[in-house]
Amino acid sequence: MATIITKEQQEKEKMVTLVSSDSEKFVVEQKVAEKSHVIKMVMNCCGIESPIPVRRVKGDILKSILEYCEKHSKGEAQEVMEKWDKEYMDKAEKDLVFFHDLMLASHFLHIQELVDLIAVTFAGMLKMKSPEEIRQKFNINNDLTKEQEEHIMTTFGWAFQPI
Amino acid sequence: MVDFGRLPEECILHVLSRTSPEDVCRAAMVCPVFRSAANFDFLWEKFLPFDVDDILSRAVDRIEYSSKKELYFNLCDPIFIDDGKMSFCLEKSSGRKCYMLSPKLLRLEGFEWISLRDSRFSKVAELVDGPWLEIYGTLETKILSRETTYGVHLVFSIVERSRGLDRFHKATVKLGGNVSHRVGRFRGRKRKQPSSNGSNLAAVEVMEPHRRPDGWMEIEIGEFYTRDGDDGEVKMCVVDNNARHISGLIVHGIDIRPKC
Repeated sequence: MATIITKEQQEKEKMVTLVSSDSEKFVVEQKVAEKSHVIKMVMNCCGIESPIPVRRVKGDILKSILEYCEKHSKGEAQEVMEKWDKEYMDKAEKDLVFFHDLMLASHFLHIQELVDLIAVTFAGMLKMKSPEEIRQKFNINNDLTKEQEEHIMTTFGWAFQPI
Repeated sequence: MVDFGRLPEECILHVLSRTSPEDVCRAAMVCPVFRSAANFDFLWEKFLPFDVDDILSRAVDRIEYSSKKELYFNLCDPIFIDDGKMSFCLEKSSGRKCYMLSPKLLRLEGFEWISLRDSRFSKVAELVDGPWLEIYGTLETKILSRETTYGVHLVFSIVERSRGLDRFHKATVKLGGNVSHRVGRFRGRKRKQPSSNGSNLAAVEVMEPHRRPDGWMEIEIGEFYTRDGDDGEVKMCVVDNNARHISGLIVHGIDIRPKC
C-alpha cells in the first residue's frame, strides 16, 4: 500500500511524491515508481525532490496502480505473483469503468507487465463472443459504414460461421 | 458507462494480440478502432509461426503478399514445400501448423507409383497386389506447433477392383514413450469391432474412414501431443501382415493437423 510518511524517512529510502489529476498525493519508494517507464524518465531528468504530477490519472486509479507496482517490485516467487495478479484482475474486471481507466493509465504510464496482464484479461472476455455481444458488454457504438462491414466480411467472414 | 470503442488503437491492438485469429476476425466487426487494430502487421506477425521465413524459403512457388495478414491467409491454403514432397498450411482459427507428407516421404511395401489428375501430390502410390500391407512414416515434431494434440490421418482412395481392404489393419503412432494403438479399415459396412474373445484388439479404438472436403477418404491412424518443440521424431505405421492378397489401395499421403 502507498502510505504517506515523514520527510526524514523520504530522504532515507529515496521516496518520491506522485500527484494524481485530482490532486491526491502518494509517496512511494523510487523503485516502485520506476515500474512506470514514463515516471522513470521524468525522475531521471527532473529528479525526485519535487512532486511529480500524473495529470491524466485519477487518485483511485493511481492508488491501485501503485499497489500493483509495489507488489511487483518485491521480487516474490512466481506462483505468489500469479495468484496475486489473478486476484487483482478479478477485482478490476468486476467494475468495467475502473477496468477501462486502469487500462488507459497503464498504457499512458507505460507499465509493460500491467499492460500485458490487462490485455490477457480483456482478451479472455472477447473469446468466442459475437461482435454484438462485445458491443453490449463494453458499451461500444457501431460506427462502421456499410462498405466497411462488407469489406470485413470478405476477409474475415469465415469466423462468423456457427461454431 | 465508458465506451471501450474510444480506447486508443494501441490498447486494442495489445488486447487482440492476446486472442486468437478467429477472435480477431470477429472483433474486427465491432467498431472502427477494433477494425483498424485487426489489420495491423504486428498482430498477424504474432499469429504466424516463428519459423515462417524458413517455411517460405522451402516453398516450391514463391508466396506473394503485401501484408502479414495477407500472408497469414495465403498460408491457410496448402502450399508445397521441399520440392513438392510435403504440403504445409495453417489452421485458420488458431494459426497452428498442419503438414501433409506425400507418399514419396513414406516407406511403402508393394506399392507402385502412379499419377492422378486431382491428387494433391504429383505422384501417389497404389498397392498393386501385395501379400500384406505396410506403410511407415516419420516426422520431426520440432517443425510442428507446440503444446498441441495432433491427429494423424492416412489419406487414401480405393480403386474399383480392390481386394482385402475390408480387413482390419493395425495403426500405431509413437512419440517418445507415448504410443497410440488403433484398429481400422479402409472400407466395409459399419459393424461391431472385431470379436474380443481372446483377441488383443479389444482395448484399442476402432477407426472408420471419413470423406474429406477435397473428396478423398481419410482414416485417423493415431494422435500425439507436442510439448515444448523438442519431443523428437514421431513414428507412424499402418500394418496388416495377415492378409493373403491385398490390393487397390491408393495412398495420397499422411495428413497431420491439430485436433479440435
